[in-house]
Amino acid sequence: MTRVLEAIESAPRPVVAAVEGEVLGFGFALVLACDLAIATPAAVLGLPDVGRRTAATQELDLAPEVIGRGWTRHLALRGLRRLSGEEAHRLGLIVELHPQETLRPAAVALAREASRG
Amino acid sequence: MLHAMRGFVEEIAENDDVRALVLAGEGKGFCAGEDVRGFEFPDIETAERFLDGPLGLFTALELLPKPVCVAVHGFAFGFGSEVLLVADSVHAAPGTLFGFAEIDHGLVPSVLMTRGLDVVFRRRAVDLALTGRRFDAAEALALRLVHEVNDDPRTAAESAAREMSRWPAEPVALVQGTLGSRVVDDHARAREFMPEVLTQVAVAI
Repeated sequence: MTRVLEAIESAPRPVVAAVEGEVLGFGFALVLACDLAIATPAAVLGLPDVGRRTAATQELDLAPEVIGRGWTRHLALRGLRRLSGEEAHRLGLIVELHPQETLRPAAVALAREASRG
Repeated sequence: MLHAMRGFVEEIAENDDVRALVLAGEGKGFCAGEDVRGFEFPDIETAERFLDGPLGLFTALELLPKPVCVAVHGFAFGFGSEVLLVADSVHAAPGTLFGFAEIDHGLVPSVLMTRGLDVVFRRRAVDLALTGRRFDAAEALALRLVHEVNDDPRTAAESAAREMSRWPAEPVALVQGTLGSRVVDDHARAREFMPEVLTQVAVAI
């Protein structure tokens, strides 16, 4: 799984995440590893791994630079806390909000814009 | 008081019966900041000894392998705002006033300028440190200093602490250890610039 994150991070092309539904744990790490991420306002994001015996560390490495160390602590230790797409937008994890019907085309448009150079 | 709090935090680190910590203030506000009356640091050594108090407490809090929740009401100035930068779940009452007010006394909010940089990010940290301006709970939330605004922050912080006390100790310690990994280096930087700041302040007051 770490190799997936590394591949995304080192990809020579922009990688855009289109987030809807529940994005938890490793899914959260995937969103962090992408260059850009957009979501529906009702998307749900969280870090529930603390409830298990082994907590994943990829999110802890990636999240502080994106949402700050304070919110990384909060999400990783609360475990049950969920961010809506709107909250994730306010925290800077999500750069644009779109309704579900137009989420995919918006992601493609953003990727196209980001790869013009 | 800082030494007493540090001793308390180090004591509960060793006590398996304590699974989480809640910090709250009694009375009109959470914390008015350090009492600067009588602040006098004739030499670097005296200033360094003084710094052991706040920096020792902040180190102990961040390295505590248990969740730390804070309930804030009324006001949280200086030290009272800085402690929020290292907490895991910060709950504030709607009318709370915040401020890194150290500059009012010619001082520097050293935790904001080290550990706070990747909590509120650099531009805002410098703005808050240089102006010392007061801000409300809504702005504290937008600044990432506060995680929730609650009408009854104490009950909310206690319930967050209870919720987190159910987690196994190992992953909690792993999260705390990973996110606190630079705390000693950061405070070493504060120990480099703060003693000189403190010796100059004694003249200004």
